[in-house]
Amino acid sequence: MFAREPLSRRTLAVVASTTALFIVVLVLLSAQMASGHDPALSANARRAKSQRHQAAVDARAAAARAQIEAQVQAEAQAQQQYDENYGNDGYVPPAQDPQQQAVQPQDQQSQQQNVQPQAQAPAPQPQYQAPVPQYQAPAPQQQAPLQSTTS
Amino acid sequence: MSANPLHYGWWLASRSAGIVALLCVTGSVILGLVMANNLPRRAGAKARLRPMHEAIALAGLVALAVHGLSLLGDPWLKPGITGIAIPFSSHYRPLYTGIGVIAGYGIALLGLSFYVRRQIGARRWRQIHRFTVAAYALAIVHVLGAGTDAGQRWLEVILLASVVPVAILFAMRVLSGTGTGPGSPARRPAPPARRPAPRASTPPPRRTLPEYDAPAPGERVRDLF
Repeated sequence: MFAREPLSRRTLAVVASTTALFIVVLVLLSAQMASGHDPALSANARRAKSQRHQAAVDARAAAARAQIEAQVQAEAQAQQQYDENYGNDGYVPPAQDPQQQAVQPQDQQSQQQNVQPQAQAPAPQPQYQAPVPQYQAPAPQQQAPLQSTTS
Repeated sequence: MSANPLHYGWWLASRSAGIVALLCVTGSVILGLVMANNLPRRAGAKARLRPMHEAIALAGLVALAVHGLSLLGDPWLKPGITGIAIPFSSHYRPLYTGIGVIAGYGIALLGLSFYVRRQIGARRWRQIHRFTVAAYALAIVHVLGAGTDAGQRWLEVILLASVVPVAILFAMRVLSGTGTGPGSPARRPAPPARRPAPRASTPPPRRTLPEYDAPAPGERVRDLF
């Protein structure tokens, strides 16, 4: 083994230097933290800030969604109240040609067949369904044979 | 965001001890490579460097122990004994903390192997002790991956100032050990052939191993490293 005497002296010097270095680094890191420049705490603060920001955005979106739903519900109630008070007898939709009515289902069916393969995803169902007015088309009037007024 | 450092005492102590351990291990590795490369040309310079190398290495091991043990008191990390003793068991960046645990074990075992070199043999101890550089590289990976201050400019400067000399000295050591250096085996002169000595009736006295710090006359000092 090498000489022990210089090792002990140097060991003391190294221990003192290491302890001093440790204290200096500890003080520097503490000062860094106290001044608000600690990297880990800054990252945590940024993360918390971003989480708060996201929560605020979500809250605003939820409030807007609730407002829209309330508005739609109020409109539906108002429409229902109107129908109960006044009914829908005054509204008479324009009459359609019976030939068109007879052709229309075929066209609708063919259009549905054409559209069906493309639209596979179900369409979102609207929450509010307005009451459908019951409409009965008047029977077509039989035209009387024309009579000549001139004999 | 400013915080009270007194609330983070264990964490700050661990970070400080880690930085001190990094500096001490770096200094010890540099001194070891300087001696291995036979750079101190003056007579007796190596004898003065060796106790310094040993003392700095021991200080680094103490700082390493403080670095791990002070984390036990951290109320946020809460690594527990398993988190600091078993690699890859910590929930905080398990890969890089695991690499740090392995590096700590490697530095401790390879450094403390100096005290059992008589039992394992000087040649084997030299071969083992060379792997300290690998453990040091793992420690650098741990600092870069798990260090809180890894993104700070001052720590990057410290890392650069410590890694570059170690890399240069290690490259010199490897090159000199592969036959291109001044003291490589390929350039050594061949030993003269000896005639076999006549057998004596009584066996010669058994030679004892020379002291570590006192090589035999004519023996190359660099062979000890």
